[in-house]
Amino acid sequence: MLTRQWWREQRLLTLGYLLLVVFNAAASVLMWPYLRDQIPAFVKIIPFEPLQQFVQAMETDGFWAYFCVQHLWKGAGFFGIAAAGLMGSGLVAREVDNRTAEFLLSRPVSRSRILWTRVGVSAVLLVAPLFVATLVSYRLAPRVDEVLELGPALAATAHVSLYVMMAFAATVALSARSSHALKPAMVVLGVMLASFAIYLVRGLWDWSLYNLIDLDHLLPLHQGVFPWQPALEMLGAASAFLGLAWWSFERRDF
Amino acid sequence: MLVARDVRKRYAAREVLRGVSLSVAAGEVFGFVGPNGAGKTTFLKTLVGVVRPEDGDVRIQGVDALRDPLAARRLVGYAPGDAALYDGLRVGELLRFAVGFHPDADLALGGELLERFALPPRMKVRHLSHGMRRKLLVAQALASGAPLLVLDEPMEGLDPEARHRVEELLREAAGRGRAVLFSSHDLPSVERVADRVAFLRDGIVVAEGAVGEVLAEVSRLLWLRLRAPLGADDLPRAEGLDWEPAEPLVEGRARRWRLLFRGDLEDVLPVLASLPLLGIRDASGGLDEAFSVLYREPDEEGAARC
Repeated sequence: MLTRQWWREQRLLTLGYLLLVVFNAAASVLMWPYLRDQIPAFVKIIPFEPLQQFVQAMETDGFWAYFCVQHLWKGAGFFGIAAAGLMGSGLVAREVDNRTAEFLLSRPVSRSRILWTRVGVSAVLLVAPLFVATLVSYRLAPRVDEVLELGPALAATAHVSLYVMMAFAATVALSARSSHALKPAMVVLGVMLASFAIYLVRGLWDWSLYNLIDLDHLLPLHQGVFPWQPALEMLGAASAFLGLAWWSFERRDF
Repeated sequence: MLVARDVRKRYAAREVLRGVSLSVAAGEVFGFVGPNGAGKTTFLKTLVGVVRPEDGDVRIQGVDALRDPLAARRLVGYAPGDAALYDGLRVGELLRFAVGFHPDADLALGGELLERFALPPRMKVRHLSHGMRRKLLVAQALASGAPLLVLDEPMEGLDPEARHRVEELLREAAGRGRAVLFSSHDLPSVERVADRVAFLRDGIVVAEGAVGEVLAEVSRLLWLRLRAPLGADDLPRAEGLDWEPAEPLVEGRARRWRLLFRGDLEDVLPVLASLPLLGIRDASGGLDEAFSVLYREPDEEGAARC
């Protein structure tokens, strides 16, 4: 019942998010032939050094680097984070904002069950579209005379999913203490936007969270090297945020 | 069924509940009365674990509601007062969601109640009026099958016919052995339905008992109207008499006075014989008057007690 109720509330957001990431991935794959032959010219006109490095990586690593940048770094790093912020923000705070918290929490169901059911359903709704978009890219790659190896593509998607889940967990932690439906999302999206801006500034980019899912970690996946360290860091952060959310939610008065 | 002892709750510097104790037996309807901000809703929320009190003891059928709120919630059919509902659901869906977690939920009864309240099951909750939402909340609490019903302002916003129907349902529930605790500002309803009543003020129960007992207690307050204004020094003094002007004093005198007395009325009347009385009445007209007596400010009308 809790699963169904949360799914009903999130289905429109999920549908919009799915369409965006799939469209982004599909369009990117289909645009690859137009970019492939003009990479050296592109490098010259791209303003920021990190982005220049992305394009140079496309020159050396080809379609794999392009797929990682377009679908994972950009698609998941933007649309995934936005969806995570909006979904996580509503998890507790929207119930307070809409004044439905009292009704929900007075049912004979534990707060833990409410929280973990919603977190579980949200995790599926946030991660599944990324894998769907990866599969769409895999199917479309032959159309542009490329091959996307499924194993590394799925592993890279799993890695980026942890990034999305980390942002989601941070939003849930704020949501568990907030009474305004959108404030937690604004805070987390603001941090992520600042993090993206930092990524574009030489000297500061090492401090950007977007380092966790950039090509330094994604390219080696093609050779079967999984970036365990950043993955574990993201997993640890997500777990800590969810633990904090649970602690706050269990103790809060509504 | 429900025993609450010394329940205390503080929000920042404000102590909202200052040791509330009450008990409700199976088959009993208990009215919980108090002005806005008295702490009624906070107290009801503590029973279902929506609010955690700092101190106190709450037992529902022997279950410690503060240590095991989930087990306690299984025993409570709760209708929140000011809470909103999930507007995207249909009436029937909301009913199923609301009672679905209760082990003894009676969906057939729920359907019957929707019919009785003329609530179309396929109607979206967002299209319900305030009164219809209130009826839906009452219906889901009753359909929960729980032995204790806790209803926050169930009559609020209802038309007289619907109010009468809810009153009937509460009495029926008590008749089937369920305990009913409801808060209300609608004192005539409380008087009609409740077996016992508690008055809450500033987080404290200021009066509790059978409705008749409370009214008897309150009738120890008399309003006196005099032919000529008198000062506090002109009034008869005796043990157990507590005088208070019932209108602003002019040059230390007033024509209307309130008298709170202890003991029996027949002992007090001779003391009043010396006064130039124009009229006298007590506050036993009903809970409305009891309410006004119990919630009057000690210094209202700008006068000090005498």
